[in-house]
Amino acid sequence: MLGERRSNGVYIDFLQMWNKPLTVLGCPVNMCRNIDPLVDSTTGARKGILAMPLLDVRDLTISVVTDETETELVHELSVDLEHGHTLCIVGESGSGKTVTALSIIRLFEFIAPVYTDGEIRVDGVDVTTLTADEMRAYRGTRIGMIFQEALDSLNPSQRIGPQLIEAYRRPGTAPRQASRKGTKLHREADAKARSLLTEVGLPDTDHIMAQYPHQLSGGMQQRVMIAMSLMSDPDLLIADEPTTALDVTTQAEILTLFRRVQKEHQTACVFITHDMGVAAEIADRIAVMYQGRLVELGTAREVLTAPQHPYTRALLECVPQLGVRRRDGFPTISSAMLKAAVEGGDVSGVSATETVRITEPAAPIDADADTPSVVIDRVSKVFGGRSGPLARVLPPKQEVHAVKEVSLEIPPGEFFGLVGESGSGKTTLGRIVSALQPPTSGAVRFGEHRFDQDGLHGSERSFRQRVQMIFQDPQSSLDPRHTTARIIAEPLRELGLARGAALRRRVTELIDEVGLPADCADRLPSQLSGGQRQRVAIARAIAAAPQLIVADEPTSALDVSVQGQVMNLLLQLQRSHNISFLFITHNLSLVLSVADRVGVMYKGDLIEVDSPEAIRTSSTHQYTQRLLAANPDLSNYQRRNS
Amino acid sequence: MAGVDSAPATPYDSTGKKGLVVTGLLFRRLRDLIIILLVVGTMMFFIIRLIPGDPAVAILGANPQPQELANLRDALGLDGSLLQQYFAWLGQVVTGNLGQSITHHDSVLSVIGRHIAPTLTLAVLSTSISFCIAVAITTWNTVRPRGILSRMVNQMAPLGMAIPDFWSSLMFILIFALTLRWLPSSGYTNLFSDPIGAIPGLVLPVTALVIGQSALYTLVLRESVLSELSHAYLRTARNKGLSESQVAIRHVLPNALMPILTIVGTNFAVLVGGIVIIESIFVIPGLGSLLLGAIHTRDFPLIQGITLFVALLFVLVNLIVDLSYTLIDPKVRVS
Repeated sequence: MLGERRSNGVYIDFLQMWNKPLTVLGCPVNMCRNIDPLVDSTTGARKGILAMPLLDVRDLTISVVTDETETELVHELSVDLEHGHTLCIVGESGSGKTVTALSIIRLFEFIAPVYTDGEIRVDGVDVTTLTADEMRAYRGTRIGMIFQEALDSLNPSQRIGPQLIEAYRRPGTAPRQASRKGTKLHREADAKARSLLTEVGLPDTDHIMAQYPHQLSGGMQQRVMIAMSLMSDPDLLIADEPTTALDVTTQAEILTLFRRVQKEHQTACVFITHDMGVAAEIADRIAVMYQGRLVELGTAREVLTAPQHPYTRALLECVPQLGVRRRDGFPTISSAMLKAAVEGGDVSGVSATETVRITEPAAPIDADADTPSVVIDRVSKVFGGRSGPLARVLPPKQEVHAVKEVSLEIPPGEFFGLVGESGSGKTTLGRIVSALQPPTSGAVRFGEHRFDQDGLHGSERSFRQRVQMIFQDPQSSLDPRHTTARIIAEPLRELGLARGAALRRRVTELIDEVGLPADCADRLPSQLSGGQRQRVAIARAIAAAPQLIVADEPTSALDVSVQGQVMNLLLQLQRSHNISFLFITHNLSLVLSVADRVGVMYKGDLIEVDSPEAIRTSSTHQYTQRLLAANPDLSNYQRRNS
Repeated sequence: MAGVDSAPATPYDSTGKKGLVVTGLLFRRLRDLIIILLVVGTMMFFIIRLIPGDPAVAILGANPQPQELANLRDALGLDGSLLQQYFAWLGQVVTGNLGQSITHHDSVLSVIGRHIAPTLTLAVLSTSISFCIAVAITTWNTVRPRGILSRMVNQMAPLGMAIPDFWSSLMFILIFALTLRWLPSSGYTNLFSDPIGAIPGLVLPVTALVIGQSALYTLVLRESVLSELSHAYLRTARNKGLSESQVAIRHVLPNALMPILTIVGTNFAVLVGGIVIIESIFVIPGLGSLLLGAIHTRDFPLIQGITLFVALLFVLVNLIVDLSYTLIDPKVRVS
């Protein structure tokens, strides 16, 4: 079976190819641009112009072989894309969307031994049949690519200028030919780089080209990447989650830029995203993938306003939307639905989503008289600066005011949402409230506990028992060598709350309470899914029965359907245990749909605290309005287009 | 995932900032230097006095007259209590005076000065040759990861590190000097006064030192290259249509080479230890032979002087390594 397939080996002996002229299907590669698009390059038959999409993927199956077992990552995918249009591939993690993108450009074979079946035609040429060398020539001149991690995608030890120029290639020139200084080609490339930088909104080209990647902000790095992808005037751009790592306001700018550039250069684009809101902003057509299968393909309008497939409907319903309260629980994708999506059977009778009803506790919690409010009293945090005996001798360091005089009170049982962009100081505030990092001035009071620049006053044990934290990335915040049971038991044992048989019983209860299967107890974090790992982190946090949980972006590493499940769990715990939450997030739609009150942080200031409704409809603060406007939200699209 | 940093970057790459980094670095290193020299000097002072015998005994030989011994000790400043001697020595060292060598009848500094050239020649030659070999091998391996050479090197490098340099020296002498008679087994000619004549005497000792060092550097570079290979900027480079060798030489290696400098610096102390042995095997009149002789004759001031000097050299080499990072690594340069 494997023998019949084309294996695109990575370690192809390219050195032998050095002196060999590059050819694709008999004609020199650099002539590929001149292949008559109306002539089928394999048969020579003339085709109708409409029958010739720029990108035509037919029955694409991609599998990787590891340890003699073959895993299918993409199953019989067929999509196509016209010149100048944008196709969004939307899916959750594991849907095969990135694998598809990397396979179109044949970069996936550098990561894993891969077998492909089916065709990927770019302008009539089936790229799966090209040799490594031919593919290299094709990549450099025809296909541009933009990735999620702009910083990591740029060489850290090279200045921006040379990196841009290296990407310039005219048909007929060798790779890096433009890098040779003093040549005409170099001057051309330099001029091209400057005009593109100006076009992507970085007009100070002399300065930018002399910078190293780490000296630029995330938004600027992504602009540079966009400029780089256009250096050789590609017909096809592949963008893999290019805005996912950016703040919403930066994301909105980059999306606008992307649309403009694409229109001006008449470039077709495959845009990969997990975010239906982003897809709504940018797509002409949307392909929805699940577990390597295409579940729905249609125009953006069809898919977003009248989705045919229940999975698409479920996915759309799971996205938090402005103005839709979810205090009673988020819808989650039903397991029957997921099964049907993979098996491709009849899905008409399957209910797409399940909605958990978050119930009030049977017995009303008696409003515990000794549960205090958290009082944040004019807390500031300054990083940098010098202290100690040498502060006067040495030159001063730049000070960063991460949190500026923030005051706030969170009453018992309140779900307080703190929203802000990166660098707003929201995480620092969270760390101060949970007594992990002392403030520079001001104090946090919680009952008899007081935390100020001198550290924690009062018993640390009793404070840790009452205040717990949940972190963003459960992958790195759980010890990879501890089992689930050990992770959950640790706070109970260390705080002296339980031991022996009682401890084991409590751990079993907690595993059950957060909705993990009982056999998770002996598993390591690496053997759990992302959502399960976050449940372990939640079980650990609630083990000591805290009164306040500081949750720092607990769902932002999760898929939207899993995010719903985790949010439901947090909401349920809040109701049943009367826990207060300081919920820190960058996701405005999410926090507005669940929080009792919302605070907006901007550059260290808490600029606004109000009810979600008031924030959404009647915020007077300019920054809040900007955040709301930048928020890629489905409801806007659906209102505009239905 | 908007938590990823998009904080405003440094707006301008000002030379003022670079100067600041270097000033801070020099200041810290100077502080370290004083502490290291004090600790090393003090430890050596007491340790060598734990060895039975003292210079007076060594000079007078077996069964000296007690009166003679006392006089000599008095003359050498060995008559006071241990602490008195220590503070007297410390006072000298602070003023830059390392004292008089007992056996060489000269100041310790000028004795060291006379023996420094062979040791530095060996150290600099073996380090730079090892470095070049490691870079060449790694470049080739990165370009041809599945080649025969790559596989061979991967197997051989740990072996190269495991071979002790005194063993390979003895084997070299046995094979190339005694059996084949191609190269001399001992002797040293100043490389600068007679470059051609010096080479035969240097080949065997330098090769003995190079084996272990180049193996170490190759292994470190290999790890470094492997960790660079996972970065997304290589995907970008491939997407520009670059060939694999261009990707390796233009993108992987410049980034992978940076960590090796630290290894060169920290390995320096090990290298000097190895040179002591090599110098005595090949009878090269360098610091190693000098130190060995000084220990035999209990020449306390000379032992202390050499140890302090080597410690100083170690700190200086590491300072040079750190300073070179400010030149080659853009992140250190401006952040």
